Parts: sequence; C-alpha cells; structure tokens
Amino acid sequence: MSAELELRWLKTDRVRGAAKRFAEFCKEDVKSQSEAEDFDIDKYEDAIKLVLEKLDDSISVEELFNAN
Amino acid sequence: MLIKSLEALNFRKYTKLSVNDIPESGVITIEGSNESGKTSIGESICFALFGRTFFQDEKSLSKLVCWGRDIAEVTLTFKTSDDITYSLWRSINREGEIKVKLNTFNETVNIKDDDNALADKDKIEEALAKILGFDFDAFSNSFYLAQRELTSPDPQSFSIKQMAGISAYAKITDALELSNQRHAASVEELKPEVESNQVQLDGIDLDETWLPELIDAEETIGNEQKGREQLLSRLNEDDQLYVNNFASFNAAKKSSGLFGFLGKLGFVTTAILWLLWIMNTYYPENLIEFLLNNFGDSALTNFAGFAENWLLPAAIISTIITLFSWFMRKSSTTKMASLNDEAKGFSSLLEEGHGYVTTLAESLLPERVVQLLHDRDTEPTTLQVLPPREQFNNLTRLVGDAHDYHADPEEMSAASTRLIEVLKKQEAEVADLNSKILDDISGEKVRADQAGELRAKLHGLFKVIDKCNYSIETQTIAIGIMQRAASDSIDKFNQNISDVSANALPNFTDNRYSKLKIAEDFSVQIYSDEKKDYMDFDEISSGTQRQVMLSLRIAMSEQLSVNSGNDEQFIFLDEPFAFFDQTRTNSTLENLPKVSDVINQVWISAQEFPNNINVAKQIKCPSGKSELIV
Repeated sequence: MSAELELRWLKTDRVRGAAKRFAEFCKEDVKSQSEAEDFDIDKYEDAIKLVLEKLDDSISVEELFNAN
Repeated sequence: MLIKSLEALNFRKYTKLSVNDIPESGVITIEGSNESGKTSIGESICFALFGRTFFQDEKSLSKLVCWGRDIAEVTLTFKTSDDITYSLWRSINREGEIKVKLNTFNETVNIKDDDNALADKDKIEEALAKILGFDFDAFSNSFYLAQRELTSPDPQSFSIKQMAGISAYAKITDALELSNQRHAASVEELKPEVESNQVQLDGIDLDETWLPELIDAEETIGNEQKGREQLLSRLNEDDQLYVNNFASFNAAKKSSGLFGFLGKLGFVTTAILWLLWIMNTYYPENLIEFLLNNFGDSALTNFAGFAENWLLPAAIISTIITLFSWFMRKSSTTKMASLNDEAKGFSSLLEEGHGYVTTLAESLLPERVVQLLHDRDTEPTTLQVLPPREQFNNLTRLVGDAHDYHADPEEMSAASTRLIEVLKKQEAEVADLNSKILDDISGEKVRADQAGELRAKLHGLFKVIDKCNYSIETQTIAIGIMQRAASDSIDKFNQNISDVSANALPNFTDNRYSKLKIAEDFSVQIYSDEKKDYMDFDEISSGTQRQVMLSLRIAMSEQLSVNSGNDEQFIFLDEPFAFFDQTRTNSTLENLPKVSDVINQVWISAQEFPNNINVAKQIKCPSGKSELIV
C-alpha cells in the first residue's frame, strides 16, 4: 500500500473523542475506497480534513470560561 | 461524570436538601414511601444539568418551586473524567425565570453575575454540552431512568445517535447537506449570468488573430507610407539633378580627355628635354659626337646656342605644363566620379520608385486584410490596381543609362516627373488606407476589451462555480465517509449493546436467560436456555421484559459514556424494580455494580430495599418532612 493511502498525516493520537474514532475509521476506510475507479485521494483527504475540522471542538470549555 | 454533592433549596417538596459525601462507586439507595421525595432527588439532578425534568416541560417548570416559596435553586457538584470538578447552580422562580452559574473548583472562573444571567446562560449551556457530551434526551434515554415504563428509545432518535457516537456525524451531515444545497443553489443562480455573458461573448465573435493581423498590416502600411514619403522628398529635391549635372558631367569629361592628352604629350617632351640637359651638362662629348654623326655641324651649332640659353628653362616649363595637365585631368576625373555617384543615387531613387509603382501595396498585406479592402472599397485604388505599365516602360532602361549620364536628360526628367506624380497619388491612398486600418484596430480593440471583460467575468463566475462544485464534491465524499463511519459505529454499538446486555442478563435473571439479539430497530429476542431457542420479546413475562430492558438501558448508558468521553458515569434509576419480585430485585441489586466497568455510581430509588445488600450510601426520604440532609 502506498504511503499516500496510509494517510500518514492523519495522527489518531492527536485527536480525541469522535474525531479520534473518525480518524481511525478513515485509516481503514481509505483502503477499500481506493479500489474504486473514480477514487481521488486529494478529494478524499480534503473530505477527511473537513469533517475533522467540524468534529474538533474549536472552543474548549476552558476557553469559554476564560472568554468570560 | 460522577456526582459529588447535591444541594437544593425550595425544590419540589424539599425546603432544604443536602446530600454530601457521595461515594464515587457503588450503589446509592434512595428509600422512602410514596410522596416521600425520592423522585424529587432525581428531578433536582436533572434540573441542575439541563434546566428541565422528565416530568416538567418548560411551561410547567415553575411547579418545581416549593409550595409557598418564590424561588427554587439546586447546586450540583460533579466530577468529570479529566478530573475537573464543577459546581453547577441553577434557580427558577415562580415566573419560570431560570438563572444559572457554573464554577470550576481550583479555578478562579466564576460565572455568577446574576444581572447578566441570560447572556451567561448561553455560554454555560455551551460549556455543559461540551462537559457532559450528551443532551437531555440522551440523558433521559440512558443515565436517567424515570419512574415509568421501561422502553427502548426510537432507533432513529438523536439520543441513540449520541449513544452510538454518531450524533456529531448526523449534525455535520445535516450541515454539509445544507451547505451542498446552498452551493447547488448558488451554481444555479450563477448559470443565467454565465449564459448571458457567454451569449454576449459569442455575439462579439472575436477572432483572436484578427487584431494582430491588423496591427501587422498597419505596421506594414506605416513603413510603406514612411518609405514613400522619404522617397518622394528625395525625388522632389533631386528631380532636376540629372538634368543639371548632365552638362557639367560632359564638360568634365571633355576636360578630362583634353588634359589627358596634354599630360601624355608633356610627359614625352619633358623627358626628352631633361635627357638633353643631362647629356649636355654631364656628357657633352658624347652628345656632340651623336649630333655630328646624325645631324651635321649646323644642327650642332643651333643646338649649342639653344642649349646654352633655353634648354633648362624649356625643360622646367615643360615639366610644369605636364604636371598641370595631370592635375586638371585628375580634377575632371574626380568631378566626373562625383557626378556619376549623384547619377547613381538618383538612379537608385528611380529604381526604388519604380519598385513602389510597379508593386501592389496590398501584396504586402495579410490575405484577410486584402479581402477586407476589396469588400470595403467600391472602386479599386492604385494600391489594388497597378498604373499602366507603359508609363514606366523606359524607366528600367533609364535607370541603367543614368550611369555615366548616357540617358537623355529630357527623357529622364519626363520619367521622373511621371514617377513623382504617381507616387504622390499612391502616398495619399496609403495614408488613407493607414487611417482606415487604424480605425479598424481601434474598433477591434474596443471589441477585444469588451470580450476581455466578459471573459474575466466568466472566468470569475466559473471559478466560483468550480469552487462550489468542488465543495459539493468534497462534502458529498465527506458525507459518504461519515455514513460509512456511522454504519460502522452502529454495528459496533449494536454488538456492544448485545454483549453488555448479554453480560447483565444472566445476573439479572438468575441465569434463566443468557443471550439476546438486538435488531437494528432495537427489537429484542432472548435466548431461553430452557427452550434452547430465541424468543420474541413479547413472549416473555413482563417482569423479565423489564429486566431485559434494564440490562439494555445499562448497556446503552455504557455506550453513551464511552462515546461521550465519560470513563466514569453515574446512573439514576427511579424505582426500576416496580414489577420485580424480591428474588429478581435482590439479584439485580447485587449485580448492578458489576455489569459495567463504566457505570460506577448507581443511584436507585425504591420504597424499600432488602437489608442484606451492600450499598455505598443510603438515603432515606422521610415522609411528612421538607428537609433532608445526609
């Protein structure tokens, strides 16, 4: 399997909760999805980043307190 | 999350409720008869966390205020998995107005500005959503078992999605689908603008090669015009040059011939005279002997007289005349050469002019420009039709004969005059043509600018459309990944629910039932060890049904805990044993703390508990009293 399909940039130990579960799933999912003829790794990675961005709680509880 | 303490004032039946020193694990029993306030304890927890209870919706929340009091308040202290302790205070008055404060221990953060409670409330609710990781519906379908029939949640409900850890996917999917719809709508909105600009661009029908061709043509015509102007200027200046030089050249030619002859004659004479002088001066005997032998005495006598007085002056004069003749011949030759050069220059002008008048100007232009000229001009110009060739038949010959002024000056003058006339006419036409081409270029530039603006607009529109389409494509892929991730999570969730339930079920049922199957719609089948087969849920007794549902509830609670990031979790079961016989109650109570590694703190209310069970804390609700402090 190529390094590209290993999604090495996707560090599952740097995310938590739903983002971590999603990242772990993607590492497996990409293997089966890459067999499709129209598979585009760049778009797939962009899609992962998009979801991870939304899964990541951008404002922590601590920040909410500090903002007060 | 684990509850550390619970304080309430004027909440439901309690004017004061205080539960402290709550153990982090084990069973906490809440015992009391009907109307003793068992459910109020669960409601106070629920109200503190979510500002509502299972029994009171938002409109009837003011009923939570103790009879005869104006305001009820609850303070819940709890600890999360990351070992942070929070103190959550919430109050409600008779008008249903809710205020809330959230503190963290060991932190200076304290949101308790009552005047800004409403504004702070949003922040606190946002913070609580992050701290808890679940909402009221998920809470009431898992950790909080209200005093009601045990039922399983709707498999399509959001709380099930939270339990399965896919609620975020659902939210994001909704957001991405909405975004896709907006992007698609944006693309649709832009299409008419694209079509309009495209129609305008097609209308301009700009040929990208036409403007460069016109510019090339203008440059060619410009050079042609400049060349003709310069030629005409020079021809005008030198028009009479040939005629004027013709006489001078012939005079110089004659002079050259004359002085050439004189120079040769003088040279011979001078040589003889100087020879005689040398012989007479240095070798007189030889000369005398030569003269005597050849010419006689008289010749010798005459020579002696001449030689003595005139031989040297004659030699000198002859030398001077010879040198003068040479000089004059050279001067005439030089003048002839100069005049000849001028004749050659003039000849070149004529030759150049001949080239102009005998070459079609349009032959220098691109084919399409020529076609434009033909289409535009009703009458052909000399640029398109050559002047009568016979006008210039003799010009080529005259050009050749101009060298050494062989051509007849009058014929040359007439040809030059004709040439200048034709060139002048053509020059005007070239200027006119150049002006027209400049107009064409100007018009074409306007069209090119219009086309450029339209293309820029289209480029911008296509860029936006491409961006929208890329977003749609990427977001659709993201939705697909999330759907697969959700499906995978649900499979794992169902499997885990089955495993945990199956683990709890034998303990709850005294090993009468050991396996269960849960379908996607949460319909349950139970394996009967007695019948050696799976039974439908409605085939078993209602008591067993409730045991099954209780085990299912604990399994779901565990899943929600794990998926919401809570490694330790409390669960509140309000009278779960209402239809249990004593044996089943005892068995369930005994095994409840064991069935899950995550559900550590188990709050259970009942009218009475067996004496022989191990509990971590007992809370006895007194009948007829409004205070409870334990």
